[in-house]
Amino acid sequence: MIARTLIRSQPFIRAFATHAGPNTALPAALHLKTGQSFHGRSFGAPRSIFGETVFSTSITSYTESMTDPSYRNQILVFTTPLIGNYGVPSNKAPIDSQDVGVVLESEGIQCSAIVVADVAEKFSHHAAVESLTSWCRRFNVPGITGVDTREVTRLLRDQGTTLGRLAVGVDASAPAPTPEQYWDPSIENLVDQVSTKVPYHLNPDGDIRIAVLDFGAKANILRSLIRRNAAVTVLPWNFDFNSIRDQYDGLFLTNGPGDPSHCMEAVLKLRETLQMWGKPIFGICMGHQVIGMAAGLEAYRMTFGNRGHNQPVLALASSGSIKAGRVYVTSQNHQYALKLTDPFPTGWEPFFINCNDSSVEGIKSTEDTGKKVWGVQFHPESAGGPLDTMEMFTDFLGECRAHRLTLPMAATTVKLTSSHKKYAAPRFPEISVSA
Amino acid sequence: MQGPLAVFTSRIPTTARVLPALNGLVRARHPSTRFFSTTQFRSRIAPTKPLRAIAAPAVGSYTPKDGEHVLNSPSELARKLSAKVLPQLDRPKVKKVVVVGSGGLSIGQAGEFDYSGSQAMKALREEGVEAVLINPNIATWQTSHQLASEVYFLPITADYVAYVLEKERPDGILLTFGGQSALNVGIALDKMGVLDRLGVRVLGTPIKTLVISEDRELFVQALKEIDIPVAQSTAVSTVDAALEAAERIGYPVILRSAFTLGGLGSGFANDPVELRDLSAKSLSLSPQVLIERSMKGWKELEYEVVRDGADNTIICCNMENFDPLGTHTGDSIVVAPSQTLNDDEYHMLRSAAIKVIRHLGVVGECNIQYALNPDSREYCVIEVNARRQDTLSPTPAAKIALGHTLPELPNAVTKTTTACFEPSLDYIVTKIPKWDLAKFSNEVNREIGSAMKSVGEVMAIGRTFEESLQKADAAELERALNRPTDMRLFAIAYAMYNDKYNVQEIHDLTKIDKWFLYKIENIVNTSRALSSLGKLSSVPPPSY
Repeated sequence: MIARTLIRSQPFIRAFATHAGPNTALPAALHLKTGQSFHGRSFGAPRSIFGETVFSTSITSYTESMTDPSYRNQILVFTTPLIGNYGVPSNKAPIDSQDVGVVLESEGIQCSAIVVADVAEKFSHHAAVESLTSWCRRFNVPGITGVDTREVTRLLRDQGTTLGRLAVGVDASAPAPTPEQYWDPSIENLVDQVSTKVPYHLNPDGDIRIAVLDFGAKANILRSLIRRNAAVTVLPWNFDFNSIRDQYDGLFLTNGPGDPSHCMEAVLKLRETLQMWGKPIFGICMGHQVIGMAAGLEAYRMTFGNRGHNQPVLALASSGSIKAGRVYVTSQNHQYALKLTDPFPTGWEPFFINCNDSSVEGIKSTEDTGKKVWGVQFHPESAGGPLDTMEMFTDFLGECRAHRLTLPMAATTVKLTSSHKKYAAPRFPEISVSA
Repeated sequence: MQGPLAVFTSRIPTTARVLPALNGLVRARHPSTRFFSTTQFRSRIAPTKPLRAIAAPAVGSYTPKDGEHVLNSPSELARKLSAKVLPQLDRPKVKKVVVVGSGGLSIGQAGEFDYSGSQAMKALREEGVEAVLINPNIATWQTSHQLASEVYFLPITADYVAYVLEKERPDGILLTFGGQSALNVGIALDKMGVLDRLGVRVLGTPIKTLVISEDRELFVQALKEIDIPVAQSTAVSTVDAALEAAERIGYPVILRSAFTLGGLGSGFANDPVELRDLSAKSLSLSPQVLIERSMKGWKELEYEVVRDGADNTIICCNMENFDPLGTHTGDSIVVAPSQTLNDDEYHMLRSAAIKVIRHLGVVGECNIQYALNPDSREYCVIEVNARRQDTLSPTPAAKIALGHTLPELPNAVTKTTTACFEPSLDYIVTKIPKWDLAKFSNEVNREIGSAMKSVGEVMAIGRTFEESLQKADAAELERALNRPTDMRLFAIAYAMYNDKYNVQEIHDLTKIDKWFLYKIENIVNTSRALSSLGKLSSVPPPSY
């Protein structure tokens, strides 16, 4: 009877699971600022960190999520219990007309730690080259396994995104930090940390020139553009695009981490662009918030944000591949959103709303303005997540191409001032920008 | 202050003052909620903790006006805005609908269709539609009079169903809730012209789609039109033609027979001798068989897809087979969601599923099966079943057949949010099939292959694969002890050897007298004592 009870009780099963981590693993603890603590075992880097604890409901794509710069400085809790099953692929790719130098979403792990219920020590996948544990160790990112992530998620859902600390080794048995000891990453300008420091070109032979303001671009946004034959110039988030705007056929604003109020510089510059420049503009996530703020909308912090691959959004307007009245399943990762107002600022209309909480999921310029400007809160580029709205990239570049035909061919060079060179190396190797 | 800079003087979600709809989100005990002092909305910040923050209870009083189609959402604003854009699909005016059941239970016809038929009839009743059921199997839940207004215990054949249609004169017929037999009957009725003559409307997936999904050549053609890879197959009707086709494709090949239940007559052939045997056998069951490239060893995956009349398409779950291709899904251990696919593979197959289902024009639920090369991104579609398949996904397929769209329908779990949503499981489901091969002759082949042999299944849910597999296995063992078979002695021994159950528990399950069980326990204990001695020489001589 005792044996049976033992076998049937969860901790027993977990202890005997082949992939629940070696028994030699260090103890670890997840402390939340609100006072709760969860104990488990450490994997990855043996170090303790502070961060903002958020949860993601995505079933697949731990590799893509962890390399997404929007997760910068966050302790990422996966609601899916089994993480690491397919290992981690090699993250090297060529830089050409199809690829941007990485396989995943950036070169390294962006989140500060991960919290999982059951990490796979042993992985199996044809593309994998290492385990999640070894990858985390290489990038000095700690993880905790054996945690009741369902309970953590319930807490975060009810009390909202909470500051946390992952304590590993001797720190795990030390008392939890006092509330004032928690470090809040949102006070920092995270966009500035992840944005490229110098402009660089991708796919210079593309048939249309697109400028990308990098607030922390996921590689798949850049891939999605160059694979549709766009010549892309990636610019730092606060680059003065207005000084070079006549050389481009379209402007793209990427996703990025943290609070959009840190990006007011870009908002003010974009406001000038919106007034003075008639070419298509498309923004995703942070880019969408920047467009919205430039249009006069307000942004606010959501309780727990939306992170996952199953967010249903309802299209309120038709445009390109998007049909009004259709519900699209989208990939999302954001803590801030634009406030839905009635009436909307003149010249703008809501494009998408979230079916669950009616938050603004997209805005667009109205037909009568003659402009083509969109922003979407979700991630049409996926990686990871559903590809339902992928064709929005085709729509955007289609509009850019249509506009190029009616206007003089854009110039082919970006003049750079030498002052840009003082910044650190870009996340992607720099390509010569002088013609 | 004007302009955006003013926005961030306070980053508190003041939205709640403007948007009552967002209260569901801000109501949670976020430290910032203490800043909500605006009395007007103070009262709305309810003191009770919401059950589900995402699916907060409906806020506001917006109710759809007559004829308006509205999103099922906890947000009043979302409901209001959706009324302007949701397509106004014409809902068929039906008063009486015939539901074709799955017929007698046999291998290859799973009992799950009883559940799906019952769900369909419940949905019909909710809509105030009279349901007439045809199902000869009295041992089902759906044939109880609580569900159907009229039940015909008649075989599922075109002639009998035509007879019922003549007699009942329904407005519509539901064909996708009775498994393969019901689909075949629907296609036959359409060919006979019965449906046209009596003016019976096929609800849900149209007949044309059913024909394409069942006829291999039309199916391959349809998928080629949208560049979706599908197993290359050659249809043959003689043994010689089968051998010829295999020479061209190269061995090993898989032989499939069309229009059969549970893959009956299908199998693998590694050489001409095996193919000759197999094709002769299959051609005696079906007039036409298909010879295809064998993908033995590839991963087998399934996606459950739901599409409504307005083209909203979602995946309600995906499944991965424990056994690679070559074992019939019905005989395979299956887990949901898939565990070994990375994001790229998962969404490659998801997108393909949506593309295929839209192209075929399925309205309601269907199931698409894939083979995925374990060493590359290569995949191909094995088949599409344009019918409700599985009990894992409680989606309102019958309501879709009656013209409702997914955004309007409630999510079965949360009730307040929309059904147009893809569940993100935080657990793993394992299904283990139950075989009862001993019921057949002594010569029955215990090997399982591409023809289904299982007669039932055990399903368990857990937070780890180990947990859900062992739970399913424990349920299986309990069943073996509970229902005596020729294997009962071994089941008892297994339970004792592995300390799964003690004598009392085995007695409770089997009702075998404990004296016998104590004796068996003695054997087990002796065996353990002997093996703990390590070698024969250390066994003490008998004391008598």
